[in-house]
Amino acid sequence: MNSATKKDDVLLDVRHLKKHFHVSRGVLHAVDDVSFTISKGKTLGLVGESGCGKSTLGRVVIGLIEATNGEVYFRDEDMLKFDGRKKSEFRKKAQIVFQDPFSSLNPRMSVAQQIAEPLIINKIFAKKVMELMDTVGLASRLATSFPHELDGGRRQRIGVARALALDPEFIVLDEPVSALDVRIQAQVLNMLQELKNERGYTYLFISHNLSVVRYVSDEVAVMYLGQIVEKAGNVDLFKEPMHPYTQALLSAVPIASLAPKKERILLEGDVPSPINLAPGCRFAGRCAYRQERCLAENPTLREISSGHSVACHFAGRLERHA
Amino acid sequence: MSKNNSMLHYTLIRLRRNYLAILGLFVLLALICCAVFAEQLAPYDYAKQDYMMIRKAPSATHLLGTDEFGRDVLSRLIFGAKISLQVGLLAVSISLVLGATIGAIAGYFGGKTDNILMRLMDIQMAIPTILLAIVISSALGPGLFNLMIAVGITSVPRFARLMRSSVLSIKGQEFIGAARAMGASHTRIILLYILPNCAAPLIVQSTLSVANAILYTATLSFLGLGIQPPYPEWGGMLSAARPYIRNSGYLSIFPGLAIMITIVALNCIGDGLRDALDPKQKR
Repeated sequence: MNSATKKDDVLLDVRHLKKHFHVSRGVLHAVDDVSFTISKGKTLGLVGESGCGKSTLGRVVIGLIEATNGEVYFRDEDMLKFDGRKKSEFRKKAQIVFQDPFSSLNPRMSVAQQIAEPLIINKIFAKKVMELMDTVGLASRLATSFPHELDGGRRQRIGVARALALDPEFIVLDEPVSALDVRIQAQVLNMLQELKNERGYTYLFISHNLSVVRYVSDEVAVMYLGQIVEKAGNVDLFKEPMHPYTQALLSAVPIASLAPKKERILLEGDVPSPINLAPGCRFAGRCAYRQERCLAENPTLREISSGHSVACHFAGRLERHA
Repeated sequence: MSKNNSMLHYTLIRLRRNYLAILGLFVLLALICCAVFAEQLAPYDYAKQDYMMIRKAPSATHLLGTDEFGRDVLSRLIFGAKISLQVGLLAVSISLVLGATIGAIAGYFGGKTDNILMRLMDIQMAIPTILLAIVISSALGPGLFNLMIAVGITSVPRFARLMRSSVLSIKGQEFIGAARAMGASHTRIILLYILPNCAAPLIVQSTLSVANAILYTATLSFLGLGIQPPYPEWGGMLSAARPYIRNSGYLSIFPGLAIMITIVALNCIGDGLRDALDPKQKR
């Protein structure tokens, strides 16, 4: 174990995690050699386009999907090796909030039943459903309502209450606000932030929305085709993106401003299929800076400046060739 | 537990709004009464033959007329309710329990389990239903209970397929993943998360199958594998009345009506129940 990743305050340490799916056309590399750490009480924002593997990553990390290869250290233990009682212990400590508040709740259960489920399953009787409802800002009169009677924001609060019921330390937030309208997004985000500040939760915040990630994250990782291409502190990444993909992503964020329009970096082509990938940099086909080396060799994530890692052969010295 | 009460409570409230379902419930209740109190209700013995009164049209002494052996049709219909309801309900329960279990396991676990179970079901479906029922009931021998088993087993694949397809569509939803993240066991997920969400098509299929079961019973009785004469059974009465349909039409009309009313009542109940079980319906 090297000293850089083995600090006391590291809660989750993911090393060379891989998840491959065998599909009829070959092997789908949903998550391909991803490593990162999250310190206790911090939020790592994970950004990427649809289908880049970020949700799969979130699910593997809390044990909902089996990993193909790699290690996920929770505290000091590799969670992927857990079984039986240890696994159920881990389940209590790592929870998830899902993207779609409509399909993530059982339509046949009332609000109180949904929130009571994790308590009943794990035989915890001391906790009160009403307290949890209060924590997430759900009025107690809603206890007997069914999910379809509530709006998206309230439904998502049920999802959060359900995740909090087991007193987790680590919560994967899988696009928790992308199905909500903007006003309610802000409410839910603020609630999540407050809970984090009060109770010291650690979040993995998955989103495709850069503004949201910027708002909640301490650190940000950008994912492209199953790999992390850039990882940096929140301020760093948004101020000084180094990977061409990150630069393109950031230039696409609409900003309300009277200043003259910034030049947008438009990516050519489409995301290649994650099935049977060609060697070389995954972004090479769409990169304006690509060189011969990019087509031959897939760059690994390396630290360019303190706390800022990029997976690009030419990070920091990009020259446009096209 | 209070949560079951509230669920049942709302279901009942919603069911009460549905007049057709209530009507169906009353009809079913009346039929059950007929079956239970047949001895007291029937004006004559179901097997008593009277050769002075062969194929007489409905009259004051015989409200629904008499059959080809001079037996009272009304009495035979009342006794027949016993058989038809028993076979209908029990045979469907057998196929519902077996079929839903097989379908749920196949759909939930998928992969090899799914393949093996569903191919077995396919094999059964490849055999003509009536033929299969005949094979089973001739192997088990005639008799009421064996008849129920035979009729029940024949419609297992239909329930299994229906259940499997509902399970597959529900399994993909995120609340199943949420339940797994909470650490719920497979049994709990199937019983509390999957089953309540695919009850609706099963209930409808069940009510329709009761009708089928009654008809299969009739067919098997007609072939001599089901209920043995002189015990009355609606389907058997219907087929016995076939030669006289021109001159004594009432002989086939009344058993036919009895079957139809039962089936319509069951369908109304099924429809009402399906709506009532769905919390999305307005209260």
